Amino acid sequence: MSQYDRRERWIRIKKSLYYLGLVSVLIVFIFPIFWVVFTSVKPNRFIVTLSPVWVFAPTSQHFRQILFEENFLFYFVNSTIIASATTVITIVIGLMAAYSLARLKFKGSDRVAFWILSMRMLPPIAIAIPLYILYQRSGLLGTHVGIIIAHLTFIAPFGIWTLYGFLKELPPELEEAALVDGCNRLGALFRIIVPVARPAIAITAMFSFMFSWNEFLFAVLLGSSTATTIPMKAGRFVQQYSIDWGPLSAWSILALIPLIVAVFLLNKHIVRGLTLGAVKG
Amino acid sequence: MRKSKAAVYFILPSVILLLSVSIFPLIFSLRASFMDWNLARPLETSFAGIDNFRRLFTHPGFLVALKNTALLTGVCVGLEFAIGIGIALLLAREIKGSNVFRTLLIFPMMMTPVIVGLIWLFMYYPRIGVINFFLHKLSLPTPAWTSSKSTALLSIMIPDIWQWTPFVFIVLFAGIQSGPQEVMESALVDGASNFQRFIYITLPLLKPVIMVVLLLRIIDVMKLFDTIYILTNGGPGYASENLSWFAYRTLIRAYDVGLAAASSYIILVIVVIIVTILLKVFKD
Repeated sequence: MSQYDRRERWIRIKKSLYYLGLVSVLIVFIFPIFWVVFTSVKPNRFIVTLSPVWVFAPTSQHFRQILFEENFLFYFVNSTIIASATTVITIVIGLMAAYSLARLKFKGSDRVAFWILSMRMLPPIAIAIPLYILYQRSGLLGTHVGIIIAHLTFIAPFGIWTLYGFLKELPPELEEAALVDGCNRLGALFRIIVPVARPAIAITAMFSFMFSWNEFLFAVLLGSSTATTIPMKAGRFVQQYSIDWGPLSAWSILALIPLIVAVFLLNKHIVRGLTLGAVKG
Repeated sequence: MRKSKAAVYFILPSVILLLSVSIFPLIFSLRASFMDWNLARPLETSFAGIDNFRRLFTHPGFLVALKNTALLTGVCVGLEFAIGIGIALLLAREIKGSNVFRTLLIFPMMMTPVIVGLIWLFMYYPRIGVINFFLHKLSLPTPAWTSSKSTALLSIMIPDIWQWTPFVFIVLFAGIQSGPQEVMESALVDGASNFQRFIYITLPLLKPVIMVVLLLRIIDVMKLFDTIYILTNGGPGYASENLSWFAYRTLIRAYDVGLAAASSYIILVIVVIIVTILLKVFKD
């Protein structure tokens, strides 16, 4: 075997190992999801069995139950309102704050950045109880606005810090050209930084939406019968001695759909920007 | 607009929002931590100085929770990073298919943590769960995951790693992709090997992003609650309690508001210390 053949072989082996690795990773992370989808179309008698059932006739009874009996759409609308509002607010004020921290160093900016991060550090239970009392007195209890504000307490710091991390990566000369040409800071932010940081903003928006969408504790504690979210109702399927796995799985899958849509929409923004040439030009 | 003026205006909305919402809970908890306030004896509420804090450090449950929190944080964050960076690197080289892969890998993160807990509970069932089914087929031991002292904490770690490794991966991957590519290209031209490229170029460039992800994950793991609630309820005994759960149990089961507030503040202090250290390390 010539030296070239041996090299070829080694490259092919590396490639197959590489793909094998990726596929196994994929299997590990996707299997539980697959299991939920699987369970959501299983008739009840096949779900809690001594050994897992792999072959059966699928049924739509669970999905029908949650759509028609449990009124999934109502919770869907609520969750959408809350999560969207949280995301938009987080991105708008978060981007500005992150820009301020990353580019416009001012006295004490480190302290402020740290304090913002510390908003996430208290255990949720410690914030939830006082917030409940506060909301009760101010009439915010059981309102969408109340839940949005509660979500913002930990999602806004997340957004600010994530964007901060990404913005710090960018070369400082990026907006110098525009500033010299007489653009003001806000304009510079929108016309130069935003396009370059599109992947970062898209990802932050995606995560913020997810966190708000899936949040459980504040929604349960501070919500009401009109301001309920999808996770909050999911708890209903867990009774004292039995768990309604079928409808619960169907509920989880439907709850995923908007997130999948959001991911699809944002995905094209997460493609690497090609504007790095703008600085050298 | 002058730099410093703009800076303040830009950050003002966030600060106002966070300040107004957090100030009441913070003051409330601080006050409560210095009081002997038990909901079961509400008329006997009184000032107690640092009594609560003293009680905390001799409370056996607290010390176990402390140890468990340290274990949870170390193992979970460590593995999430090791695997996450590994995947990000593997994927950075192959462009085709990486989009699909990344989209698929987001799924674990998209699930509600409570539901994730329930799914894993279902898979953890000793006799009828899927995990033990496969383990049995491979002639491996089939432990009682959530109800055995030795595996309870482990059973909490696995769903967290499963759910959040994709987060680490995606953010780091995005960081790699939005970093300046010319530097990487010039390194290739200079003949650096893939491994060298990683250590000397990619990693330093990613420092800000790594720092943020590390901080966020550490904070979130230290606050971990939902999975413990669903899977083990802190048990058996105290075996899988962490600090967050300890605070919860003290408040909800023992009705001891003062002690719960004190433990919450201790958690806050610990996290603040860790974060400060980390920030110093990354600032160099």
